[in-house]
Amino acid sequence: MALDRKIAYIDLSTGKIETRPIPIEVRKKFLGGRGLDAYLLYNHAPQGCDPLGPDNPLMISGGILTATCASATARTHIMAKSPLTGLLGSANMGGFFAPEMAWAGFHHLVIKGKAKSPVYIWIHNGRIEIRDAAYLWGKSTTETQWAIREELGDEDIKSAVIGQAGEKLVRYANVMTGIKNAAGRTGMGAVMGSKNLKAVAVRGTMDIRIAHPVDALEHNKHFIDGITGAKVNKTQGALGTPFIWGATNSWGGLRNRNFQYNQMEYADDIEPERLDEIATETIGPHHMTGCFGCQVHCRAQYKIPSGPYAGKYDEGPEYTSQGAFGAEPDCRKAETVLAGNHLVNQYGVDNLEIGSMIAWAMELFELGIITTKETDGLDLRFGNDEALLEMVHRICLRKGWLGDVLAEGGIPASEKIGKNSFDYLIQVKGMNNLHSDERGTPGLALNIATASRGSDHLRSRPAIDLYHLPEKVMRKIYSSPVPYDGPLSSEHTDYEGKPWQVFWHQNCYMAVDCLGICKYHTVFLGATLPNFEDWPKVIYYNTGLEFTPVELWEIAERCNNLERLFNLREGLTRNDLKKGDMLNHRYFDEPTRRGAPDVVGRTIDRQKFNKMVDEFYSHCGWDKKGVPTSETMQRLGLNQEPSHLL
Amino acid sequence: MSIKVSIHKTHRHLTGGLETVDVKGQTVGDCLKDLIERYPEMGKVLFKPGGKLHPLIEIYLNTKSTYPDELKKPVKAGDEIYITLMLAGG
Ligand code: SF4
Repeated sequence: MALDRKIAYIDLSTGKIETRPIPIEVRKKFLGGRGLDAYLLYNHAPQGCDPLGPDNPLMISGGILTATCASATARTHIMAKSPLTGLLGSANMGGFFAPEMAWAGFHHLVIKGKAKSPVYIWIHNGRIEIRDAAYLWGKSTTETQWAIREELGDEDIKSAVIGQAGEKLVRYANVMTGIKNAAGRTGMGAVMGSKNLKAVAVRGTMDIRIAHPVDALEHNKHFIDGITGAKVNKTQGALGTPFIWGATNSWGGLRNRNFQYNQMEYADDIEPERLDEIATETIGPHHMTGCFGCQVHCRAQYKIPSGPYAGKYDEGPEYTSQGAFGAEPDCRKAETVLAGNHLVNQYGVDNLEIGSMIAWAMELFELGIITTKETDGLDLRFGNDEALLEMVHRICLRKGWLGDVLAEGGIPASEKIGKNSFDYLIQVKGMNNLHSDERGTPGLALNIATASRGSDHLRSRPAIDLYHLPEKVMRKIYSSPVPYDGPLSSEHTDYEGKPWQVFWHQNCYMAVDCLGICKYHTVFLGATLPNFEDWPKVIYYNTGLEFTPVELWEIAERCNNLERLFNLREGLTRNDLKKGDMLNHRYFDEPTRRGAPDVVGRTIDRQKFNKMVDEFYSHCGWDKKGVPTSETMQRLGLNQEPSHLL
Repeated sequence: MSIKVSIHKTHRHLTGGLETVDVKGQTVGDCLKDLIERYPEMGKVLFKPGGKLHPLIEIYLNTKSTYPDELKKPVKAGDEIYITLMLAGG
């Protein structure tokens, strides 16, 4: 049964391993996945602990629906205190790892301490072993996975691993499984590296009993019809996430040359159709691959056609890599995007963060804030493809002064570089933004400012706000499962109603991350895709647990508040540019220079922004400082936290 | 008979700034054709060069998506067509 999957506590300092069932009462309050991880983090991380120290607990989990008869339950969640931000660390990846871990008997791992030498954790049908990984240290993410399979003699083993970036404690190193599935954000790979933990390998053949299998399958059939019948999924299944590149760029929604422009010129070479043309075995309906239990298959595959990385096979590139190795550094060659994507996958580093860091350094170089002295002779101007890829190597291996400094993350790097370098860093809470430019979209600006893990599009982004949906459709989505009769606007440039949308999506995505499903199977991507009304049925048929949509909403609220409590405990204050819900001054002061008439010349209005934050806080049940009120704590049953139930 | 087409803000510079345009036709396809006859630049953002509806454009008729076979969907007087642009992802 899904609910009999256990939690394991693994202490790498002592070698002690303990397993426990997860009480139903805890499930009912936090479900699983990210929500339950937030509970574990709040309960197990000592206040003010060093993110790269042995006390920082690392959680790895699947959602409550993982490996059941529900579709797309592929996501693995990883949480710890972030070495990048000093606040909440949280990242999520697709692939096949979490389902395999569930078949091996576990939904949640809590890993503490630090091994004396490199190790990996081997989990097999209820048994857990800590094994020597000295021979794996220094290997790439894929080499590590194949080597573990070879050592243990089982081709079906799935591993979550770090590459050299994690070993070198690059503060935005990621955790990877498969070729391109990356728990990318907030430096969870560095936390693994700090524990001398190279990998967690899992293999399981333990049945998961489904509570109501006939209903579960029948319901999933409807779900699949809905998913495969949606136009957005058809498009995504043919072109992958790059499908939005062209329209977003021509509209003017991309960061180009760090933050100087909001549109990239001469970008045709990195259109998905062009990537398909130049790379063998790439994008297109017959080349796409997918995660566990997915019917969308949004993942392209490719071989690099020429240049220094010719013949290298990889998966992607995602839209995020088009930004990281295209728009932000203003590099216009498809090959550079493919090569950059390959390097980050092999080193195990967050493509969003590294692309933003290098673009920021390029702007500093062009402004004379850093010179060839700091770059060890590298001509770090925008548009220099070779310099871009060279910087990826240097950061991941901490080579040279600048490589080492940039590996520390944006805020520490700005302190080392000095002058006014911080003013040019497009970050929130110490984490860089995706390559999107939110100056024309106040709702999206509010999302990145208030997202719990720093500037991020996957925590509360009202992505469908950009669609121009009929107002009645918007009203239907946003008035359920709890009533809402306040303002709503299908104009993406408006400020009114956006705080509710951001609040609604914050709860929606938390619920999704507790279930362990892919966001592309939810209202994140399309108005017709499932949300709160659908999920209680899926949970009931698969696990037997009964919730109403409102109860599910409340669980999401509870988990979001726990993340907030953690951030507040670790120093978040509302207007702090480094640790608060605040945007870089450029959003308010520098008008956009390119794009369609609806975005050109736009800034975020500071007064209206502050009003949106006030309203958002009020929807969340927080006071003007962004602290949950005692009524909110009471209502969500959080006033006894930390309660140490697990 | 008159049908209203609601234009995405991103495209309004192609319709002289108009938020909605009244069009005529029996189907969604007819209505879009009528729109493009008056505002030819809209053709480039709605359709791919081969004549297929752009993969990022989803047409809503009143409150429902018209996908698939969008252009064949019948319309009646008083209906509203929404041109939506699927810019989510990442
Ligand atoms: S839509 Fe893409 S990311 Fe999501 S489960 Fe399917 S293949 Fe994985």
